[in-house]
Amino acid sequence: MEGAAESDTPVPGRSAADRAAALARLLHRDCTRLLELYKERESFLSHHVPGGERLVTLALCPEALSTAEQVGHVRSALRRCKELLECLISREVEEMGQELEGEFESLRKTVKDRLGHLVHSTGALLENGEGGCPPSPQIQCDEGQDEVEGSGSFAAKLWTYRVLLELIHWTDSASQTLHVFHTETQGQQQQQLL
Amino acid sequence: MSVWLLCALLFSLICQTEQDGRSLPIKEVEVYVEKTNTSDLGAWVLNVKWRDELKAGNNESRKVSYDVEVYYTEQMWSVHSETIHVTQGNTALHHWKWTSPIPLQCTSHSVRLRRRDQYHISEWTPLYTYKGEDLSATRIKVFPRDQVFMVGSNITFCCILEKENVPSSDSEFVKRISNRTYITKSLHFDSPSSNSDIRCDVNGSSYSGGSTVFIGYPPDDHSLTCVTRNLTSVECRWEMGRDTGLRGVRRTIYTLNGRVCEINKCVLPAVPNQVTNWTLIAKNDLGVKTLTDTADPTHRVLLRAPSKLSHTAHARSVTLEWSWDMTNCTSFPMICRVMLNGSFYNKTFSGKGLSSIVLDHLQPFANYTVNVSCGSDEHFYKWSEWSNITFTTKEDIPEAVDVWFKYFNQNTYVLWKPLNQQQSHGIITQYELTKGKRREIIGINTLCYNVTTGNERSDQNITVSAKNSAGLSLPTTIIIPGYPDNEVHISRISSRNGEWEYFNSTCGYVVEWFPTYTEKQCTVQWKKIPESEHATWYHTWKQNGEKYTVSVYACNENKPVLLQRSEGYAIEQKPSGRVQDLKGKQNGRNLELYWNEVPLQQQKGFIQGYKVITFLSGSKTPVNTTVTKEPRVNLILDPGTYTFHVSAFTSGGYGGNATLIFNMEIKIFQMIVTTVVGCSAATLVFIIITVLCYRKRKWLKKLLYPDIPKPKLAGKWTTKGMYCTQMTEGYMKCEIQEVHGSECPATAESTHGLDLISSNSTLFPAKHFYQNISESPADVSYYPPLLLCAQKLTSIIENPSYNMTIPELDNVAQISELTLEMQDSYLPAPNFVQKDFVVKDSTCYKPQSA
Repeated sequence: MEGAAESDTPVPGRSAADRAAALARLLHRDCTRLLELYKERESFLSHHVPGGERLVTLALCPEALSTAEQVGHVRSALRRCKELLECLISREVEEMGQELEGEFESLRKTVKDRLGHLVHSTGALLENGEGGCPPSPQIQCDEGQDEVEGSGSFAAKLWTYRVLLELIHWTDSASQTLHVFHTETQGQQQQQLL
Repeated sequence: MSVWLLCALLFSLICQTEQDGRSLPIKEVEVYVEKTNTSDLGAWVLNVKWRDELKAGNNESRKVSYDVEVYYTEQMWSVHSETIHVTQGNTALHHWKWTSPIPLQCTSHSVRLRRRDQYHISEWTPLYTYKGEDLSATRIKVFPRDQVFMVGSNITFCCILEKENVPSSDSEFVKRISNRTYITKSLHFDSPSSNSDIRCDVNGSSYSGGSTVFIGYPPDDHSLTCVTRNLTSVECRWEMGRDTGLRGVRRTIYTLNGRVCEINKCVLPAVPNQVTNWTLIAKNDLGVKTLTDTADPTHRVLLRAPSKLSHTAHARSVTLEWSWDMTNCTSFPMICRVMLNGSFYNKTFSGKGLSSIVLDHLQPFANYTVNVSCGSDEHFYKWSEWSNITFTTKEDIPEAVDVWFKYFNQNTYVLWKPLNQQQSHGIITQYELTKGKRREIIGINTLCYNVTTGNERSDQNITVSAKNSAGLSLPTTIIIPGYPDNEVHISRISSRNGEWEYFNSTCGYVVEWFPTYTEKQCTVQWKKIPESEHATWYHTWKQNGEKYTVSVYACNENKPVLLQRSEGYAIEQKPSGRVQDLKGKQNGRNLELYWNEVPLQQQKGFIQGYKVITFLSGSKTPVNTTVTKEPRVNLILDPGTYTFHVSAFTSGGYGGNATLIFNMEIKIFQMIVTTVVGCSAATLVFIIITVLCYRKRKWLKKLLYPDIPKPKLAGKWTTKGMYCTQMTEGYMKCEIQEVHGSECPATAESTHGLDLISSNSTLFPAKHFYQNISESPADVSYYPPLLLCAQKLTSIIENPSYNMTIPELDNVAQISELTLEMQDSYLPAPNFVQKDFVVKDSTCYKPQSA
């Protein structure tokens, strides 16, 4: 896996924020690849432009957030994404069976594991857990599927597509936010040293 | 009258028909779709039920027809019409099913019917409608969806849009059948796929709907077989059919006697000694396949492989033990088979609950892989899977060593062959050699031992044994005969290769062989041949062209006796080397070529001869080809430079050429000597002859020239001189005065001459004289009598030089130049010739050189 060494192998001297940012970047690449594989499998999605609202929104946060609060914000979104991904996996297994074990299924499991690791890592960066945002209610697996057009297997595919888009969006957001957080933290540490 | 009756009947029928047309016997019409798990996602069969009020009487039946018409309600498009023929009996309820080309949810469908029999056609019923979802759908809906279809199906999809919406231009929903419903063309699906999707995009909107359907095959499994492995449960398996193409919740579900199974295996409790039926039902959305099997489980015993297989190995046997993963095995009769190193053991083993066997006749210190499988001995069905184990038998004492001896360079060696794995029965640690009372311990790498004692004229008794961890082998004794006094005659191996004369041996024969030219003390090989076998030995030598010395010994009370020794080649090859030291020796035109033979190791066969090819230098065409058996050849050659190619040959072919370039030359000194000697010899002979002739000259003269008696003359001869005078007109006048001789014989011809002379003078025209002489030499012979006489006359001429003074003899000046020489008693005739004129041969004239 490209960049696997970047996250799996701890690099001495790197801060936890830096490692979390690197993991988020790696995860973003994984999610992008996962979407490509999904579009290869479901060719009718090749030119699909999803409509409707975002599946993961965090509207309760105040407008002006500190970087740490933004990290908490992102972490909350990643948790929702992880829950959506777990729903997605269980639904596909039910629909398609266990016997399918291609690159998509393998990468899907990797993304799930790394996403959990990133949620854990970002949580460790925050002193008070979620930061400035209140925790979002847990998503039910059938939630949101009725919001897409149609129903059944076709609707599930559109929903899966949207979930993957959410993953790409929030892992990208997480990598940027964590990078800023890492930069600020590093600056503060240098000032304290001076 | 009859006309009136006919008109009345016709009127009556018309009136009745009009009355029936207005009546409606079809009652309680019901239009619906059957509810199934997937009917909400696409219902295809429209059911119509009705009751006919005009039922037939008791035990009476009549044929009735119903016209049925189906419409898309909204547009009142007729999509189907059909006449149904029924035989109406006591039952007046009718049920008709119609399969729609599109899901019935796509739009509302209306049905109407009318009754038709032999005499009446009823009115159409009102329209009975099955409502489509286009009346109530709030969002885009596509039918059918999430349904399973057989490979090869043609499916028409419909898309129900929201009001005022239309499908996008690139959509496949191209035909409008109601205000909100659009349908596709009939789409063909000809291959299995876990899912196939179709989208219904709305023109000008990002919202879209769609449908996923699943294409596959019904189950096609076969060959259900149920066996028991432990007599308590039955395990049923079957062969999977083709891939249905359906996954997940749509996969094939298997049940065996009502119990859900795994993919290709199902386990049920066994009821021994009772015939049992097993029924497998394979089912998916496309169909059901039922498989059955019937048997008594005790006749279907397929034991598991023996477990926990262990061994107790000995040198030549092994005990194998195992256990069974079944509780009631001890009373179960079993039969087991064994495979030993890939080959079946020569017997099977049987017994109740068999769990131990002994294998014997094994090789000591050998690796074995044993496989064991068992089955029911009472009602054998199949062998179990194999269990395998690997072990090594223990060591045993080695077999006796094969011992031989060899004389080499006045030494005696004892040799023995190394024991292979089958003979050594373990790892050989040493050899023990006993000679008399002396015992030698010899390492395992030594297979040749010098037993020379110095007293090689007497026999030696040698014993050799091999030793491994199990002990010493049985000793092998050999009595080495004393060193032979005489050289052994060595013959050439003939076509009767390997046979020898019968000899009264007590312990067989021994054939030994070794390469003749590379003999060493330990290079000998041998083979012991039992006495019972025919006295013939064949051996394939690996190396062709190698000369071997083969000896045959008879064994007599462990003492070998040499019977014969011979040398030969297994297969002769052409010589690999060339003849050596090719030289030539010339003797005149004879040339002797000679050479040394090819080195022995390079002969590669028996040399049968040599081929000598002679080339003239610069030529490729041989001038001579000679084959000789001896290493020399004599050639007769002309002078010149020659190239000689000499090659030895065997039955295997010709070897390489040895080349010699030789110049055949004539020696000048030798020629001179020969010439001088020859001339000297001739001279000596000549001298001897001359001396002899001189000494015997009188005898010789008498023999060859006897004396001629002198003639006797009657008168006297004038002895005056001759005078010549130059005359006028070229004439010369000669006068002989008183020439009277008595010695000149008087012949007929001379008589005439004498007559001329006697006339004292003769007149010769000078010119004519010369001409006659010069023009015709033959004419000279005309005058011999004259000249002969003249010769005699000269003896009395005082001037022997012929310098006669002839006054004014200018015209014959040349004559004076002639030089005449007197020889013997003959007188030279005047040479009246010019310088280049030579008179040849004459009976009385000897020409002289000028």
